[in-house]
Amino acid sequence: MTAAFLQTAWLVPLYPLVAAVLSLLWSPGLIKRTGPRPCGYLNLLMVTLAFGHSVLALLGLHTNSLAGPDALYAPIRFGWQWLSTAGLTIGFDGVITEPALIAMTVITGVHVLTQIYAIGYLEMDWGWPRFFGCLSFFEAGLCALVLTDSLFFSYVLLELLTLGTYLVVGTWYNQPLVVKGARDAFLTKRIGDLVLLAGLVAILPVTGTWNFHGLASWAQSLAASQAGDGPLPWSFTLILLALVAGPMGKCAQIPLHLWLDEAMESPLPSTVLRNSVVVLGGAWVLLRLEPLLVLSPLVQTTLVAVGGATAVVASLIALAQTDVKRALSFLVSSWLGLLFVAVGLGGTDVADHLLLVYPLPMALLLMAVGTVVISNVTQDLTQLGGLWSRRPLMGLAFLTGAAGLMGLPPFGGFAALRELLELVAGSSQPVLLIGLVLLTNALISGGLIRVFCQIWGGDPTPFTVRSAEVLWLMVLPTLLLMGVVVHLPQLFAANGIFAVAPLPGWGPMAWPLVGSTVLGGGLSAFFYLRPHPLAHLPSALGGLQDWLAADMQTERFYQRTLVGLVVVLARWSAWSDQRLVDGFSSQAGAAALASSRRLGLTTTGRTQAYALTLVLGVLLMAVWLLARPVGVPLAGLG
Amino acid sequence: MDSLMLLLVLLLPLGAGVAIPFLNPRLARPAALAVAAAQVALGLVMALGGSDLSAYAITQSWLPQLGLALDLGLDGVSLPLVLLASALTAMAVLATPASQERPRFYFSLMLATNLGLVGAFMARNALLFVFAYELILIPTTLLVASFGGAKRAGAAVRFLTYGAASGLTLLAAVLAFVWLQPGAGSGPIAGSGQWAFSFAYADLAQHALTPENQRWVMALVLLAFGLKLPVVPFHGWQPATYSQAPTPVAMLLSGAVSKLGAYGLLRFGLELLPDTWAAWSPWIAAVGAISAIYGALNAIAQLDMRRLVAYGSLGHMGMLVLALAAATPLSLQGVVAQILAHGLIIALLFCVVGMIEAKTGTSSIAELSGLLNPQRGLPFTLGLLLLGLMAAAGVPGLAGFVAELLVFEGSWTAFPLPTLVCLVASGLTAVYAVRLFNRVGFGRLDNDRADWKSTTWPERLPAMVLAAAVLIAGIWPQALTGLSESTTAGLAIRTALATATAPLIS
Repeated sequence: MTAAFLQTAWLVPLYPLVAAVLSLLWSPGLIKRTGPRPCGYLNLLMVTLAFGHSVLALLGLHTNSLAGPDALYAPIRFGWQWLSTAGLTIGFDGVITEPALIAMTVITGVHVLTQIYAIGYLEMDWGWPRFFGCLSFFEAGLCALVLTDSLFFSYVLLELLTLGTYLVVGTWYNQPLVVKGARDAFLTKRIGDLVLLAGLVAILPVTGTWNFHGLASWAQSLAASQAGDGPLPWSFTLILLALVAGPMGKCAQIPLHLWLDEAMESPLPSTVLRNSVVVLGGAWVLLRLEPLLVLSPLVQTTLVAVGGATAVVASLIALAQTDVKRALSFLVSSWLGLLFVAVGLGGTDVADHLLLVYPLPMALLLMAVGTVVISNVTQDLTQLGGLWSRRPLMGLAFLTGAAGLMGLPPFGGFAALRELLELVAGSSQPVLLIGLVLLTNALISGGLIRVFCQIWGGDPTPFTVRSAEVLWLMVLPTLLLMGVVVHLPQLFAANGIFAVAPLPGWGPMAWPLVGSTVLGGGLSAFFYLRPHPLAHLPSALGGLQDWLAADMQTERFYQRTLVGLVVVLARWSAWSDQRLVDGFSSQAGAAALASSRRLGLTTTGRTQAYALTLVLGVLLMAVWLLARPVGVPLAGLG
Repeated sequence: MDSLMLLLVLLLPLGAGVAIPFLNPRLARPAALAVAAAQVALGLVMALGGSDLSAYAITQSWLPQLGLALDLGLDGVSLPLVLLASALTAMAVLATPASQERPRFYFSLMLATNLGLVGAFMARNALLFVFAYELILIPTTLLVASFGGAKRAGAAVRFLTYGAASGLTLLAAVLAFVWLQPGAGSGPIAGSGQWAFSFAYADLAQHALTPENQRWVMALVLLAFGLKLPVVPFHGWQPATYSQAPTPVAMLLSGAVSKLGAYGLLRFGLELLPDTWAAWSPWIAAVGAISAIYGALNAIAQLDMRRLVAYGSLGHMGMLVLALAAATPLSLQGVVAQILAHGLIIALLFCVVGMIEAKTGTSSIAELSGLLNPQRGLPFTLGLLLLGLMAAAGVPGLAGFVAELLVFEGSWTAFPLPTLVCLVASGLTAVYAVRLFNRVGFGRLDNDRADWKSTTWPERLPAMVLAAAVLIAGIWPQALTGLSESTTAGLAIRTALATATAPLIS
């Protein structure tokens, strides 16, 4: 019976996709009489169907596995040829594996809870069809992402998720900050996606395949034939780095972390999904690429460096945030930074576990916070406080989520972090990396406890004097998820992922890990449970705190570099176009003059002439540079 | 029968174009629509009929003294273009309001444009191509000059100037091609009055030009079609014309007429002079890449929706040129895909922008805001705009992505650096797409001005058809590439993708 569900698991992404497409009937206003609510219910229904199917398929797989290991490790394949022309054949090449089924169950499960939650959270909102449609679209994309064996389709899906992010962040589009957030989220992620596309285009002539399995076996045969043959060609290293850029963008790693922060302008239920499961799409692709990445030590070092830097810096930034959503979103980057470190060190299992233990606690944290934000009309941590006497259940839920992430036995976060510590202890830089992991854990613990203290600890503020419990539609999914998170260790143990044992049995790394948790969480509690005068640091250190609070001025950095460059180039080319090409007729010349004035270019005739020469020169030089013969990286090898 | 269908494709617009001035003005639009629809149907029958495309051929001597013959035929490249031209004509007619003033004049001109387009795409004789190419210039100029926006006179003049320059250069190229052949100067064959040479493509392909002369001809060909496409720095006519032309004419000009440039480069440059093309291709690719980035950068700086779309088009044409220069089987498939995809996308964008302009009275980006508002905005139209912009930005699942993927993958092995530049340009495309949608779709609706009538279904129809085509082609890309594969394979001058069985380090 359940085997049939396993066979048809490829249907799972289609349910939410149908719901997303049907939402279009409501969104531009074709169906007006019913109001927007039926659309939300329809989405919830389809998402629930997808969840049910995933669970049954997973059960089917386990029933199968009783028949013997062969059944478990003969994944079902399905395919769909998208394009075949001039020697290029691209197919979806789906594989239904156990990890994919687990991932789909988590994704669909979180979606069901979040959509129920969203019905409560957006009770008064008029943008339901667009919002729910986008959520379902996300689910469809993510489920397809875990099913596909094709790097190409992974790119396609990541890119579609980027578009989804743009739309979902723009839900409340008549607020200027939202519009800016949507734009930045789209463009930052698009940078990562485009670099990934470049890598994709470049790697095909080298490997001849875009399928993860094909890439892995190609990498294996290369490693076997190479056997100490010297380093890889630099161009191939570049391609690998380009492939890493996509996951870097999705996982909000420095320097592409800006978007996750900006995306906090979206309604909170979408934040729950984004921070818990959507960001993992990038990590999933990175893990699938791991066999390829181990070919290049430089790429591995880069992963460790980027991940390590993000882990520490993002958790520091999180400590300085006053917006509760942002305080939690930087912890996402930080946790995924640890995952990058694990992948960089070749610890696929450890990275898998970091991936596995993360989404549910993070979703729980955000759901708990969301109930506070909606009833106290502020998400500014400094305006909140003293809610323990009024909203203890949600406080408990938050603490449960926090316990699931920080290194606190017997929860999942502890087990995964302990494995990570053992992995880094065996690396070439054990002291540095152990210190890094412990520091990150302390900072994450501190950050989580700080949020808890500032919301639930201290004295009530004007915002929290009256804080009624919210609609059951939000409380129910939160408490349900809390129950699941509490039982996660049991679930892991039952499936043989981690062993549940008393502390000494966890190995030598357990004590330092617990120590760092206690130190970070304790210090944080000391400073924030009762507001301490040093909670805002004085003078010099205060500047540092402000700098971190402003996300190290990353946005200004981008404004001044990348954005500035594009703006200058755009104005420059627009100006030169109006002078050079458009300016033949006097009428157009006058218009050009007017619009160049609008662009704020006040230049005299002589400098214009110089600039014109410069433009021409640059264009000619660019043509010359581009026309020079350049060896195609690796295409002609062999 | 087969050749009759081919002739019918040509005779339909010719007959209707001549007849419409004598009809009741109210019948002009339905007649034009019927002709375009019939043309699309004929094209589809030929495409899906299963019979060999070479069966569709007509050879009829016309003016033998000039070497001009009515030599028509189809192959895998010309048939998709005929389909595109007729489909866009149909959409342009649909996008024309029923209240169009001077409808008999307007629709006759539109059908004349259509006649020139299908004639040029089906021609197998260089002189016939030139004839059709020049023919298009007259009705399109008249359409811009008579029905365009406030600054239509200047735009029409500039369009005509550039168009005439392009046409004359092309004529010079074709004449030079033939007259520079060894033995061509000997005059007509005694007695018969016929010249010893022909302008048929098949004969031209057997040319015996010296390398020196080939370069001269190539320079003329590049100039002629570079003006038409256009590429930097020959695009002076484009923003003005596209922004001043009436919406349906802008759709037709940008979607179909400009594709003559790409088709011409393919036929006259790559097919007839492959050696020179190969030698010059690094420079052509570089110009394409510069065009791509220059167009995208300019689009970012525009303050008017129509001009933004026009410069965006310039950028996409640059990618097309890159793929033409690379001339691998895959990149040539990318050329055909890009011609079709861009034709659909740009027509969709102009159509939607035209709708917004018709309802709000402005195409200035700064004056519009919050149109996505479901109550008083134009949410449906904005949904279509978003689809068009995302397709232009190369978001997967839409036609533009298929074309860009083929262009990038096909050109990468030949010209890695220009390909990377085009990738950056594709990223900048997303910048102007998001910038436009953020300003126009998102934001606060101006309550004082927002008392617009909602768009009606007949107004939406052309945009919806185009949007559906863009979506279908993105999900089922065979629709873009299916017809042309065998033809482009024969045109390629570089090898296919390097297959990867070779070891990485030898």
